[in-house]
Amino acid sequence: MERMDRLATLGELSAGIAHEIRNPLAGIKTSAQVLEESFSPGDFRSQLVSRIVKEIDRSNKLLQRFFNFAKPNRPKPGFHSLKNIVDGVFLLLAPRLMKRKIEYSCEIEEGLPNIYIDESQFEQVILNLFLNAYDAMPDGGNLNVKTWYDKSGRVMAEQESKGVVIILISDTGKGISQEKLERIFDPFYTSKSDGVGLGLSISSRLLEENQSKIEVNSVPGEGSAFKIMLPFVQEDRQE
Amino acid sequence: MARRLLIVDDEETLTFSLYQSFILSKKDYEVATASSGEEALDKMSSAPFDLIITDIFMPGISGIDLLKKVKSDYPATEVIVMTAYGSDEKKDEVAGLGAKHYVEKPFEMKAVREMVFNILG
Repeated sequence: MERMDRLATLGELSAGIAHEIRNPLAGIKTSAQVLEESFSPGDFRSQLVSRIVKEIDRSNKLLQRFFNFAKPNRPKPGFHSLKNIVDGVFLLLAPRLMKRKIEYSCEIEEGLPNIYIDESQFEQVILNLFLNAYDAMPDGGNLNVKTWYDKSGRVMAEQESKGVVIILISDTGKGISQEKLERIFDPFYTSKSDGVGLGLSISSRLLEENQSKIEVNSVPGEGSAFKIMLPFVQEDRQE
Repeated sequence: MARRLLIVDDEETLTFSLYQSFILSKKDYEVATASSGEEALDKMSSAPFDLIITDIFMPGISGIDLLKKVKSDYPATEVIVMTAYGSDEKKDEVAGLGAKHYVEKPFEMKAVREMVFNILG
């Protein structure tokens, strides 16, 4: 509950900051773009102005992440193939994983039902988890995805007897200490030198918005495993 | 007769740069700015505009209230709504109130200019 309060407060604060910064950014960007058009494309002044615009866009992307955390868009759920979503994210990262000699495996239970979820929000969650695994294995390793349908649904009290689809994403990376595990879903908490600390908090928040949950287990020096639990919804019964 | 465009925002840098952008576009537009919803309605009552570009969050009359008033009193006037604090809900709300377009700040000026050209010709 305390964590939720902090999330709410930080979320509102982030949204307020983002709002106050985006307005001046809009003025600077529009002014720069008017100025840019007054120079010929080869003029160094045009190139300088173009850099101003690029830097504004870069800042805005960071703000957008704050926004996503502060107030995720309401989910637009539909029935989707879990395999297609996971495969799509893997294809995006495959060159990076190969370059780092990270072996990837994906085991999808045969006959797994489609999941009822906001596709783009769920893609973002899977992408965040894959990227974390990638960062945890600087010298290569294994990234494994395993999914199955738990008919009992006992892992989510409210889903008992309805069933739960489980996705386990595990890596053989550095692992996370118990002390860090307790804070891992907190906003702005990061152990990476270049991290913002929003990836997992946004993921957790997005899953909550989709009535789903995430848990983590980790052993330092051996690796981490993130377990996502999605409530099963009958495809002929959209809720 | 020149088409009339009104830009409404309490962010002076943005209204000035948008104003300059349309003046430099060499279109035969009559462009004006207002720094509040109240000032916009005053200007509308003197001579209606064909298009209003308005921010949402402004002191006094908000862009949403301005949109409602314009759509009820000047139905021929089109409205483009811009905001620094966007959401799907807000986008749906302004579309439901009759806004022609919804843009999030900071936007691509060319994209907004295209919207205006398409509406005003």
